[in-house]
Amino acid sequence: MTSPMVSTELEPRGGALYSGFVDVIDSQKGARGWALNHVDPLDPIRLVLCAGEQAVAETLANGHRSDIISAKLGRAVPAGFAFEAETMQILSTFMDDPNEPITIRIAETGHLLASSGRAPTVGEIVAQLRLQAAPEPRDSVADFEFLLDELRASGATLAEGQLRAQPENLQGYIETLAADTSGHVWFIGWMKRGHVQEFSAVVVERRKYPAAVAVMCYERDDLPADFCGVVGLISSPWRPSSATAELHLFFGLGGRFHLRAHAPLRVITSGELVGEYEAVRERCFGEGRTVVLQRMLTTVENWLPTRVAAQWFATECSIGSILLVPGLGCLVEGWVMSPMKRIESLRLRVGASVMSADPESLYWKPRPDLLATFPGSERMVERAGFVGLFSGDAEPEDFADPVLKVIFQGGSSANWPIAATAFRRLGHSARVEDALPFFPALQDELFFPRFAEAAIRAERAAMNPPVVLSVTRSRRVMVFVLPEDRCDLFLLFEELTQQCRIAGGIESVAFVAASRSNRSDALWLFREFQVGPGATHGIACSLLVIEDTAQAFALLPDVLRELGANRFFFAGAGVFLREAGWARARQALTQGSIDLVFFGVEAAVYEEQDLTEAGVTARCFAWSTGPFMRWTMNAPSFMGGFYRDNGLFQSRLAPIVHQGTASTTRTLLSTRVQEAVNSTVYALSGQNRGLPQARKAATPASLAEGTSQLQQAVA
Amino acid sequence: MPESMAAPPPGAATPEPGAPGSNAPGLNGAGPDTAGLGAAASDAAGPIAIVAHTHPSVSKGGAEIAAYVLYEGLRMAGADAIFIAICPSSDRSRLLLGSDREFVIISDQNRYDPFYHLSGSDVWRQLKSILLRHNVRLVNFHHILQVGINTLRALQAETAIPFTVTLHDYRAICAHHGQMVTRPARRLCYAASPAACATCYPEHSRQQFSTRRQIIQSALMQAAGFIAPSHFLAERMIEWGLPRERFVVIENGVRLSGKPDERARPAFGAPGAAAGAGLADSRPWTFGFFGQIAPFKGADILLDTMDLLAKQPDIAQKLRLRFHGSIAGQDPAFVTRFNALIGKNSFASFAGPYDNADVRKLMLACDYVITASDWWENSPVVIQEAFAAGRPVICTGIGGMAEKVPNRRAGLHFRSGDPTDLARAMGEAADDVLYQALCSGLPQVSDQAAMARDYLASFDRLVKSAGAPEAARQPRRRVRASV
Repeated sequence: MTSPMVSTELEPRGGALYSGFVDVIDSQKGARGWALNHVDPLDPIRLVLCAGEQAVAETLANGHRSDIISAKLGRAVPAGFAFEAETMQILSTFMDDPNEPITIRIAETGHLLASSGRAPTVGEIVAQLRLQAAPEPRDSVADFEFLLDELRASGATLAEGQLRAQPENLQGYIETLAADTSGHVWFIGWMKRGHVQEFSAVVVERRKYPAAVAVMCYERDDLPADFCGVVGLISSPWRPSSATAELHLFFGLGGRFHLRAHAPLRVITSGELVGEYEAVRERCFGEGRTVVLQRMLTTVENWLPTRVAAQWFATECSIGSILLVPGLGCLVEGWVMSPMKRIESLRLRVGASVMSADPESLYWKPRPDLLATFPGSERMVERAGFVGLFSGDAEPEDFADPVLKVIFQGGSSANWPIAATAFRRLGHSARVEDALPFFPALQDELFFPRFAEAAIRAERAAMNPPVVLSVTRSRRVMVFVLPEDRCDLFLLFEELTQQCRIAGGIESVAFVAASRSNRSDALWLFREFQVGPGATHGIACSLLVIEDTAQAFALLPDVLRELGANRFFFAGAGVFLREAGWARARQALTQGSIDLVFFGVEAAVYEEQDLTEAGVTARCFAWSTGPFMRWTMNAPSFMGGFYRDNGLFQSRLAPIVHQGTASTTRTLLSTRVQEAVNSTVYALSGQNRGLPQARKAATPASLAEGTSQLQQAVA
Repeated sequence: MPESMAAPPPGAATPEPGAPGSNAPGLNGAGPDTAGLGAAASDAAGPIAIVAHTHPSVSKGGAEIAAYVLYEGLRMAGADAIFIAICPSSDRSRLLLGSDREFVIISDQNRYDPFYHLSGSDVWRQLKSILLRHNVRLVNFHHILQVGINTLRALQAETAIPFTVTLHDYRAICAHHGQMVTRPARRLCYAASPAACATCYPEHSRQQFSTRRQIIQSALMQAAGFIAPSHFLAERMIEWGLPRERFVVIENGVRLSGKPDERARPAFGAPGAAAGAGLADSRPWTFGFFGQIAPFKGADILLDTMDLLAKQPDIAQKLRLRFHGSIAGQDPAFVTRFNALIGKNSFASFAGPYDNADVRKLMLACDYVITASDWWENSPVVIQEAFAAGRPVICTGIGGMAEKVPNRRAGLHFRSGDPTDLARAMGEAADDVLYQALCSGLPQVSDQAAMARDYLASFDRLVKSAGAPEAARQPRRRVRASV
């Protein structure tokens, strides 16, 4: 798996300017080592990770290395370098020749860093990566139930043996039992630490029942340190009854260990058990399938619709509309008329997900339109309408039997089924603007940063990979996203044709069309270009189709993967190069160039500077595939595809900017909400100067603060 | 005689046409040069190609007729010329080529972009083949429509053949069919700008209009010169950014058939010339409308005028209004209204479509010809045809029409889009004395030979000038070669 190459060389040989050594190149550790400039030891050397002759990534040798002592300064100098493991994943795009060695070179000199052994090849590293990427077992409910089936089968074998409840093997007690309607038995109790959390078992109550048991543990102050509380699931044909008292649960090798029922044993309803579980939920710990177990537990609560006639007080409820935001929850608008009891909280179940209304988002509003149905209820309708965000892990794939639970003061509750027609799903049947009817001041809500990130994720999840209609792989390629306007589409091909006529020097072009707008015209224009200027000038031509041009930037890694390009130029839809831009684009694609190059895009309007969109934008740039792929691993996405520089500008030490070398025929327009979503995501991604940097560590409060700061900055 | 725009008369953007003939004396540039391109007897280098956006056998528009008349004139003058027409594949069956010197480029209408004027690559491929096969020495394009500016760019980049462009409307400036009227209100537009154009076409951005101007200008700038049939059009194009020194004004020629005496102006005493008798107040005055019966040709103004006249029977009984032309393809509401008014008013009649060879005879049967277009026009052929038939013209007093029909000298003007004023002009026109005065002031009409002679002279001068230093050939405004 690894190629250890340990360095001992520190002194320059033969008057060389540089020394350096590659300590390791590995799929998990990345590439590490050191490099030193003898003339100016404090000037960090720029290094390039190469696959054969192709640049993959670059970095600076400026890491701390106490073992690297400069002969000139007589002390340790920051000469360490590291290409992180993520960088190695980029190598999968360099599989044209898997036998190419992975080497480290000093940028702009070609000087190769030495190593103690043979340099690994691209193919070897990629093979290691594939092994590591082998799928892990999924923690889904379905997988978990499959596991229980297997354990229960083993329990049958266990039941065939002699089972004796030896006092010294008593591991704990079952204090409470509850059965749910799906056939599972749940228990609460305590047991000795150190056992696995899922195991085969045998339930013994007058006779033996093969069983599978899964537990989650929680801290209990009333127990010795080597014991913990447990909430567990028993999957077996056995059911507790009111007479259940003498009960043993054998487990372990040959059924050596056992739990026994506490006397008296409590048998409660599943709803009550969930309530008790909620009380200890915060103290649960453990790995494995605890989360799945928790999810199963929350579904045992009764969500059957309440019959109005069965209520001793008349309550009415209706849901107007629900916007499901995958990964965030549901925005819900509706009304509740409860003449007798005050409403304490609202909960929503969709499939296996149970969501509670966020108190900071929930607000009540008048619904005077209800007076026609409830005459004389003026006071009640003043606070009948409600809107709230129900946070939770609502996944569209798990959409089934939606129910709203209204929990009244005192703990009683009532359930109302929700018509499936009330639902819409963000990223599929709804846009971010559709959240405004729920929360008119959406971008000022505390949950907005979470909403923004979820909206971006939903948009990203809705994207399908490009469909390849024609591909000719090439090292250096110009990627043009075809404009949606038919006239601009014609113009782009004409401009490219004209460049072929008057300048040439184009090696490969790839067009990205959109199935929603221009696919057919793009197809015949592409064929004309392919057999015309393409054939005449020997240009490799490719055509890929995506759904929407706004997805082009997010899908650019997929496009580049299809093209096998190591260096590329990218122009978004509606961007046209000017004469100088064409020359710069050709220059940016010359062999050996590794710089990130921006082409300043301006609106092509005479005497109307208000439309000028000068400056750096991700709508037009050139870069190397390797560093770009690495950047995209943690890069944010944006609504409409672009927002400012998309965070690209700060991804490189010294990007080159050619101002005014491109123009656009369409200014990107976004709605107020889209703009807010993008600016929030931009800020959260840590790319916006001086704004919150740590996306992972951000709490809702800090996110809101970040949004506020950004809004102030914008203002 | 061709009129150079290089040295316009001081203070007069549009010279006042005076004496007979559309081209005022003293304004012309170089005359025919027997040693240059115009040398009919010495054209060893190959033919001149006249390229039109369609063939007259397919469509009877003014531009294609003018192009074809020029081609005929060049051939009559002994110059080597070929005629190349672009024809949509759907109209192929209607094509009727006159000789083996006529060629056609079959195009696919679906592969044409009318905004930037970009044609499918097959247009250039076919054109290039014809040009090279015949060793063409000069190309004269009529219109950029269907040709596409990409064809001009390709011609410049891939061959050494010089070319000129004859402009027949304002298509380079205006996306609204080149008419420079607003959309949808059809108000007259005086100058294009990205903002104003985007107001007419909200589906396009201001940047697109700016890009459109840049790319069309840069393509046109490759031309050796431009020919405009009217001063008005030439000035508009110069204001837009094309260089004055590369403009020449040459009137469209018309085919003059029949004996010279038949072209003589009617004797004093008309409208007897039209009605066949001599008593002015005993016969109604006949006003003829010729051409496409469409709103943009002012036909709707005439319908409004009919409504007005119908309410004044004493005037209506002295007038006859006759429509010649096709109404096919018009909006159903317009057709319904047209038919209703024709049926209701005995003073109006619809004579149907006509063969262009009969136009003179049909015009002779009228006293006046009406041109009521609500856009600027350029040099409507119907005006030249009316003058050739010896008939004064009542026209909208704007643009190319006002230039070609001097008010109260060769016809009468009325306010654009004003049926009341048209009714007023028609009433005023029904006067013997005025009629005779107008008939005697009709300008002389350019025919094929004169048109060809002027073109040959201009080709020679423009192509020679094209060899001038590049600095002198730059447009007045900065134009980028690429977007």
